[in-house]
Amino acid sequence: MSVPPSQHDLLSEIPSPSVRLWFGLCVTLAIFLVFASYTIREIRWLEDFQANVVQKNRKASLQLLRLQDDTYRLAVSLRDMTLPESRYPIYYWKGEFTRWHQDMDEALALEGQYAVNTPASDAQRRQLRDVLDDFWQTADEAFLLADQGHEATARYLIRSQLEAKRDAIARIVSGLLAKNDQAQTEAGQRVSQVYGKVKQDILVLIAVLFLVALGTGLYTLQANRKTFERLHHLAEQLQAQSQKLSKLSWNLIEVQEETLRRVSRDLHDEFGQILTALGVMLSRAEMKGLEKDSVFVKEVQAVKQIVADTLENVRNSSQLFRPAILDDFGLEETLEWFVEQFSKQTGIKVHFARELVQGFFPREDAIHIYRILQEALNNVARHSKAQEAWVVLREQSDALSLEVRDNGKGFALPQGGMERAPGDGIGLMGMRERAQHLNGTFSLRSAPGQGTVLSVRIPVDRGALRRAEEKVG
Amino acid sequence: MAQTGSEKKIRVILAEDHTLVRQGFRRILEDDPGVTVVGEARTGIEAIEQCKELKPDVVVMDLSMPELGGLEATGEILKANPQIKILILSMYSNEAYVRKAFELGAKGYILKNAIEVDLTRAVMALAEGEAYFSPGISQIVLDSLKTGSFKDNSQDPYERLTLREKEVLQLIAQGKSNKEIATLLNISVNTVAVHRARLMETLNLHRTAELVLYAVKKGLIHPQ
Repeated sequence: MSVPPSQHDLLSEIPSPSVRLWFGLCVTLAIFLVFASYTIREIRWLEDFQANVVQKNRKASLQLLRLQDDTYRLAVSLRDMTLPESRYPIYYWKGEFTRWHQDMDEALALEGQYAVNTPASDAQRRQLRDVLDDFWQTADEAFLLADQGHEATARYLIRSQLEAKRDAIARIVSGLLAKNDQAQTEAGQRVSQVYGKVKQDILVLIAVLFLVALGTGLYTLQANRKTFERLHHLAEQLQAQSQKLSKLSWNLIEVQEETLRRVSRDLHDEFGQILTALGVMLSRAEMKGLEKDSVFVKEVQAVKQIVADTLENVRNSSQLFRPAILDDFGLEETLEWFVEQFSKQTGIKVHFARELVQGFFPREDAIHIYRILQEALNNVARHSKAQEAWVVLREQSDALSLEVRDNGKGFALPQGGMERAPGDGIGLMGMRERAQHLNGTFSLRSAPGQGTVLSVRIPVDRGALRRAEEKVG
Repeated sequence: MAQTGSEKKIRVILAEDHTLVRQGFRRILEDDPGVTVVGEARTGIEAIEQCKELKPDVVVMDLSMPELGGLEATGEILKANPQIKILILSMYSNEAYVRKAFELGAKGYILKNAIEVDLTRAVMALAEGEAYFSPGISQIVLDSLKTGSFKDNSQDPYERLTLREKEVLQLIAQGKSNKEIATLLNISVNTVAVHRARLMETLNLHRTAELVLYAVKKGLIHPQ
């Protein structure tokens, strides 16, 4: 017989997925943190980029547009100044020019401040400054000439030089605007590139997290499956072991019954008969005695009394081990006899009621019902302090039931079952085992101060009857 | 001791399986010149056979014998020879035994208790046509007569069967042959035949099919 593994061994056979799952969770969190910080950095850069480059560029473009606007106005004024039929003298525009000069200087300064410098734009900006300086110098010269009365010379100067210089300014401003526009477009492209990248990163992150989660989930499923398989296996093992135990305890009951039967028979057939024979012989010797009051006859009577007492003891023991009445008359008579004996011995009044149809049960079943009653009433006598008890043997259409009730002190049944009662574990187990072996049920109800009710129900297979009936026709 | 003369002697058969006890009883009985033990039997079957052959006045019948017990043998003997008086010897004073013994027609019941055994007197009482009980038994008989439990039970012929006969009936109903029943119950085929004949007689049934049907109606068939 193989030695069953101990509980510790059995449990250690279940692999724990916890360590791997914790590891998986940490990896997932780490990946998430790395991706998240990377993405935050990208977005911050993007914010900076938009604030520093795009916004500045836009502001610079505004200043360039201001310059362009001024340049257009200059063009209009220059044209008016050089018209031959002009009704206004040239100095009339001087104030205007001074305002534009200031305005354009201011715009240029602001543009320089906002502009994102590149070597190319720097060169153009320097060129613009030079051309503007040149323009204002020439304009001053023209206004000076006009002040000195050389109106025509001044006009000529304006027409020949200032207009060309203004065109140059307009060209450079347009160039710078075009450059700014291009820079703006490029910046926009970069921004959308970065957005695209961030979007891609997030998608990758989601994909990775999904894969990790999927992996973890599959691993958990697998681990769970294995665990449940092991648990199932363990449950089977436990069940097999408990069946083995149950079988073993049933075997013990059977061996006990067989032993009791043999001891009972030996007591009755051997010792009982020898004692009977002795008694018979002594009676004969007594009758052969000389005188009725002789010492010899008295001695014989004394020995006969001893033999009689011993025979009584032997018979009682034999009956207790296995009542002959069970084999000769069956269950009902046996229970009645036992209840009567019990009442006499213990002084507990026991009422025996029966509702029987046939009252015939195989003796191999009957002995167990008798033992259950024996144990139940012994418990009543030992623990209950009851004055009265009721035994009901009832045969119903499909079952035989035995109920033993007392008016004793009762006891608190342990939570979750009736496996143990005070001091009575083995007895109850034996009763339960016998009932279960006969495919029956066993139950015990009790509460402190409420007495105890024990009931057993043994099914009688009436299907066999029907089959036999069909056979007979 | 009063009766003398060989033609007046009470002829007794002793049915008792234990040799020592049987010999003891024989000696006690033969101490009285009015009694002669004409046969000894160790089983119920032997008792039946000897009764057929020897036609005794009284049979001293032990209740528990191997093969066929004293109760069944009593019934069978009285069926054939109702005039034979049967004195039951028993270890037990249970009402069930006493009741059954008288239902079957026994005329006396004495306990094999060493103090109470007054065998010769009992045999003589029976031979005179009287009944005889041990002191402890009389009360039981009186009580039973009072409550009427003798009468009630004899109304249903099934109740007149002994447990062994009920058992044989059940096995017959299960389709077992005499030989199989003999093996199952660890008794001889002849004994089974006696049980079968007796229970058929008691139930007034004469074919096996009728027995099976009766057992089914009585709900006797139980799965093995």
